[in-house]
Amino acid sequence: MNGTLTQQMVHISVQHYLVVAAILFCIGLYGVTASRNLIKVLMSIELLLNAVNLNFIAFSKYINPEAAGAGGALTGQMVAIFVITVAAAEAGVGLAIALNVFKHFKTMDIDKLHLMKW
Amino acid sequence: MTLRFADKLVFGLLFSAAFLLLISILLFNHGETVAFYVLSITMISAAMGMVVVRDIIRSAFLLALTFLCMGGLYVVLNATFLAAAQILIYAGAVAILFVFGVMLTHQGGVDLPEHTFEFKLMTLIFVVCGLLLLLVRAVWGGMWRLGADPMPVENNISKIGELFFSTYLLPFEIASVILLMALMGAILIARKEPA
Repeated sequence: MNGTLTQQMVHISVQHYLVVAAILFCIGLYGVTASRNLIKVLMSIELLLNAVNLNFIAFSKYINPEAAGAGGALTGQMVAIFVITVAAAEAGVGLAIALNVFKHFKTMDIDKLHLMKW
Repeated sequence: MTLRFADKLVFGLLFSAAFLLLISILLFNHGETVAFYVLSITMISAAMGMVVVRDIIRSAFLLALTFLCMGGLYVVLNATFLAAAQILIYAGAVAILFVFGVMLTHQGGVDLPEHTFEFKLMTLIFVVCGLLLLLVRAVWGGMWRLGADPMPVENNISKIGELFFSTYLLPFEIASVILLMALMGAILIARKEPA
């Protein structure tokens, strides 16, 4: 962390990627909490998963290979592949549930879906 | 859907970002730096637009743009296989799935009600800005155990394939079972008659 501000801004380090991922995660979190459309909430969850993936891949480039796990420096990329798999499955099942909800309630407003709320 | 002025503005900014990216990679020494800034600024703007825009189909396309920029960042990070997977799976499949979801749940142009401005402001201040400050503080103050040099640019696709069938064999099989379950579950949930 020594060096002038210009040097820090020109030389891209792992912190830059982590900050971008943090900003993206916060945008996704805002989308999850502040939108009332079910589809938009699902989209924001995809944003959250993408932000986490960016963290993993940034670490896989910059990490010390001896300090990494069994896969060496590629561990982060392997984990990111599994995250993509699970996210795709989640998107498919989530969309199917959303379609079913729309068939039953004729609305996508999540504030109207309070069947399980006390 | 007619194009509004904002749509044309987005297209113009997008084309200039792509042009800047090409020029920077071809001409400058600091191609990586310029590519990082252009891609991340485009990505964050697209994500903000996706969350803020009221029209849901526009936010679906902005989501696809976010995924594309993320794939570009993976290329900058030497993760070429993941960049291809990101563009194929996310920008190709997931975004189109969301577009289908939007069209199948269309309500004839009736906009859904939104939360009040006070609620959104409170969320923005307490949840989002608080978490963002905490994360940025942790990132810039943390001591990371990093390598002396970044990972060298090389073809690591074959190594990923080897790892799939040696160290990560069990997670690989579990992932295939998850995909099969999701396929069957989605068909079972979304079909017309109850089972």
